[in-house]
Amino acid sequence: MLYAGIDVGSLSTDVVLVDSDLQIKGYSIIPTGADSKKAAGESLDEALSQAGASQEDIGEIIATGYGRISVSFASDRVTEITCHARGANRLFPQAKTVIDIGGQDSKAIRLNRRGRAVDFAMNDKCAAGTGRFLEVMARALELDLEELAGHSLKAEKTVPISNMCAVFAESEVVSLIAEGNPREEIIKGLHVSVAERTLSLARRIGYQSPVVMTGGVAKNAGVIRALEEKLETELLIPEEPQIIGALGAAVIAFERAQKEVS
Amino acid sequence: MSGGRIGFLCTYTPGELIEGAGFNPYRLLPPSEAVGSEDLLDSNLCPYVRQVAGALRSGYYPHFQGIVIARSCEASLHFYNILSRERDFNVFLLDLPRQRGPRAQKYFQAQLENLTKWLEELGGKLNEEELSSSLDDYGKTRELFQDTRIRAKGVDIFQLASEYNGRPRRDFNAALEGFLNEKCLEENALSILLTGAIPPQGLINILEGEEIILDTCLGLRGFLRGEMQGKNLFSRLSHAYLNRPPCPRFLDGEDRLNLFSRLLETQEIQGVIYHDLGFCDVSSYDFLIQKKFWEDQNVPLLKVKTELGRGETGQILTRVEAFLETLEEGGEE
Repeated sequence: MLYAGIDVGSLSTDVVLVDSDLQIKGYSIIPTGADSKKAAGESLDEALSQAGASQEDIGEIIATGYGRISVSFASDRVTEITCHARGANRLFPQAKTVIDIGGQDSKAIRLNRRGRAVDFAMNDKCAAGTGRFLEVMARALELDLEELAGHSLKAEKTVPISNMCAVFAESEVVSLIAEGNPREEIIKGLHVSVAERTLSLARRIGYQSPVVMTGGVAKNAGVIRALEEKLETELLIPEEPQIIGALGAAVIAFERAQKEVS
Repeated sequence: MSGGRIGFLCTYTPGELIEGAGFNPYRLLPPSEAVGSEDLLDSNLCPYVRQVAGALRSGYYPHFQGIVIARSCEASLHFYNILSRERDFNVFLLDLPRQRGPRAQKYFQAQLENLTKWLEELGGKLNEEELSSSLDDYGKTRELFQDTRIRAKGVDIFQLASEYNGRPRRDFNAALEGFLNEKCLEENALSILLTGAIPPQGLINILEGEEIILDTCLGLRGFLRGEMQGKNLFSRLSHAYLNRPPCPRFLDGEDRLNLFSRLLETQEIQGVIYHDLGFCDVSSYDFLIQKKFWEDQNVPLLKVKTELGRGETGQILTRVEAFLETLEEGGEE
């Protein structure tokens, strides 16, 4: 029997399938697009195909993420705060804090000794310090999002970015380019600004090491380095940080199924 | 009662006097859909007052014989200034003290006397029989909210307050009594104190299924009264209103904390949700006082900031649901 977690985020819809030993048997990451229900179905099919299984093999489905309400075929819905905590705890049982930077929001989550979320802080009202912020800046710099990290790590100095607002920061970046500042140093400045924003969230919950970083932005080595400097700790990064919310949802799906049996 | 409706903004407006003068008091609650009012009031003023102003102009509310604006904050004073220039509205400014001692009570007593004169100018007459019955009815509401039966599904209290708005207090009491007796809470419901400013319907809806102690002017603060002490009707009413659980606008926050201490002793409060109304200075400092209090009591607290907009529900959904999930998970251990 398999247990599915579906994380419908603003940019990607991620599915994880686990077995009864909570081992990952398949996963998928696809763009959410305009129809989140359709994306959830397609992402689930892709993960099932990777696991060599069919829908009949699924015991329970938990949906999470901002689009969780639209996954009508899920057994239940749980917030991404709880799911990221459970997913991070599954991979790093020693973790005390989770930093999740997704496409649309960022969060800091404090875990208790059992790896459950006990406190959190969210930035969900503007794009500052999120994946969307970096996406807008990459466009202004005429780079692909994936290229930002490589440039940032080459920079010797940092050009500070004073605007946190994605709209104003884009104008600032354009001005900095016009002034002739090296692109690498501007990108490093952007990563430092994301790290500073995240630090303020982490401080609000009284973060403690070990800290796990999840979400799509955890694939950006430039942000990781800036954040490690700000938090003064080495971050634990999952092999695939984008699926941790879905993994947590799958773990909860398994636990719910066990409860129903007993 | 046949004198028409009197609209009012703040629950420091004594409905007893309005009913006693033969009118129906009608609370100006925020509209279900936000109505623009930027040309009337600046967008950096209280969203509650702004939305009521927009709704009043758009014809959302029924016709009012007159409107009472208590000077609860600067936004309400701006609202009064606008209405007082309009020919279509008879409006009265009820000046509400910021302190609650004997001098404040004397001042508020004079305000209530002026309110009565204004009601009489509108054709009302303070009828002894109606006044006595109205005082009994408002006293009954206070009794219903006084004891431990203040837990309820927030969504139901909100609906009751809206449904019985503008109807005699006696009818509201009957509905409230029946509802409190028959209340049917869900198994494993969490007990949440909802405090801060008047909450949006969307926040109340998210909390459906949980047990809510509503410390806002739609709940405890709006329905409880102090003792009726004094030499005459106006001094007794002044005492009763200024000695009820205070609104955050009053300068002595200690009495508010005393109420929370009493609630902690009698109710099992598992978490607190603080509704912070955008652009409300009072909310900003009240939150800091409450934050310290609840931290000292080890009770988890969540601040939710809104401008009473319907579109904000999606944004606060994850925040509130995650907070409830952390409470279900059992906290630090």
